[in-house]
Amino acid sequence: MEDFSVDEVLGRLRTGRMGALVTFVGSVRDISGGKSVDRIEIQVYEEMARKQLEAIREEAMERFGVEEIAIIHRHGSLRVSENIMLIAVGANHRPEAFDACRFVLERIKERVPIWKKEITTDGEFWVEGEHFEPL
Amino acid sequence: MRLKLRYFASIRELVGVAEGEMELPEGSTVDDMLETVKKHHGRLRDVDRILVAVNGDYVYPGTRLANGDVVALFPPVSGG
Repeated sequence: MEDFSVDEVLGRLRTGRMGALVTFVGSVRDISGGKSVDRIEIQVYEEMARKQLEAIREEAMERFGVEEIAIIHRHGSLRVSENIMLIAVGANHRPEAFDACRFVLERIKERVPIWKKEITTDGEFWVEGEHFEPL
Repeated sequence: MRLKLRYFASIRELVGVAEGEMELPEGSTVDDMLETVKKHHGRLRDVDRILVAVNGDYVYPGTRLANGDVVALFPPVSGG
């Protein structure tokens, strides 16, 4: 999946009502659990991921009263230092922008069906997230 | 009833296929389905953390399944 441009996404998101734009960018790290990472493979259950991301976005918009939220998550093969994910939140003021961004990030890590496999010098390993009770 | 099964990440590697189909008696639950899957794919018996989604939503173990449901089995997620 093609890389995204943070500026381009912010350009589409921004309106005059926003005094605060908060972004989170996830990036491929070179070391994981003491192993040297060459690249990562991201697998996604696309239909469900889209459904869950839309639900998370709507919940965050309502809960924090922010103006707009954009979420992009790449999949496929990504090299060290490449972008993995972007969350961009536009709000009237900074507190709700930061809060909504953090909320979306934690929810994604908990429940959106996306998995990372790290291709390291010591072999290939699926990264497994924290177990959670989805309901 | 007939279910469509989808497997992801480490679970997909353990069962060796990405998709499958299953025939279950009417009124079967998510737990019944899991038991049957583990019978077919013995390597899943040692996996204690399997998340289950039906038609893109997380479900309870006791949720009843319906003909044509798309059931996904996968490990805890690691996106972000």
